[in-house]
Amino acid sequence: MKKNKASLVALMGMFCALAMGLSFLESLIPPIAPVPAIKPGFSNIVTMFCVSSLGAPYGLAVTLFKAFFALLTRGATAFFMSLSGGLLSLLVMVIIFKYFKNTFGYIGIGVLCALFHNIGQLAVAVVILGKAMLTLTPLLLLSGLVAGIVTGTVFKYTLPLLSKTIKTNTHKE
Amino acid sequence: MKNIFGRNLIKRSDVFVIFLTLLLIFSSLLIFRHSSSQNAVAIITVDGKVEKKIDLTLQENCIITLKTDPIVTLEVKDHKIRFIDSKCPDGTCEKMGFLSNAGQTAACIPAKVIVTVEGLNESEIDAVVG
Repeated sequence: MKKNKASLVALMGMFCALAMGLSFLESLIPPIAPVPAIKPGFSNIVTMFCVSSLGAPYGLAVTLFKAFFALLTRGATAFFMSLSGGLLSLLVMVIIFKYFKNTFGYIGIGVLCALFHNIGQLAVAVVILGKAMLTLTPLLLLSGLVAGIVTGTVFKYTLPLLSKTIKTNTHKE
Repeated sequence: MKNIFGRNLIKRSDVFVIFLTLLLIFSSLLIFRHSSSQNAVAIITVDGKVEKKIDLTLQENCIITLKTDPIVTLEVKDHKIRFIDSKCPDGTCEKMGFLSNAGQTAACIPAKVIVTVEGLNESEIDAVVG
């Protein structure tokens, strides 16, 4: 399987734009709870797809890009929260796809990634803002659970479509 | 990594993951939830340090301005507290609404301001601002 470099670059550009667009769309939803971190996390689907189909470095690229986007639009605190959540979630994703390939279904993967994303964010929030943030733990875990089920389900149905694009674009026989 | 398609939407181990998460949620609720008490105290934290403690049951309606960067304005009204203004780009804190019960939290992350409501004893309040 040789990869066509130009198509891959274009594809990554598209994925970064997709992650950015999804993050922006989510920010339009009014906050349901008193914390900005509670969102469906659709851009996590893009990272999940990159890790599962292209490999961990591509997932890392998207995660870093997302954090950079947060830095530009929402400032340094948002950058650190996005980065820590994204990296922890990425780590869990890589571990799952490498060592527990057949252990979990889509919902399990989605939930684990979302949970660790929120745990990473919470950790940064506690470091920056103090221990009072810990009172949000139950809320963040619950939102991770719900968001994970949603993203896992969406991931299952978008995966075949996205994979088709990749196969026709990046593999030259 | 080809056999990703053979995956089920939900597997037995997923149910286990969800169950474990629910267990975690309930245990963290037990740990971090403060029992609601009659005198709710709003604790305003700036950059990890306690800035003000306000007894919401005694406090008259007032406006509190915190000289943080960006400047944050809080309002106490009818024994409830809320963010009314923050000079930050996202303004999420302004949409959070009133807090009145023990255990509720609102934060303005750019200004590093957290408001938590706790049920504390009266002796722990150092001042009533007015």
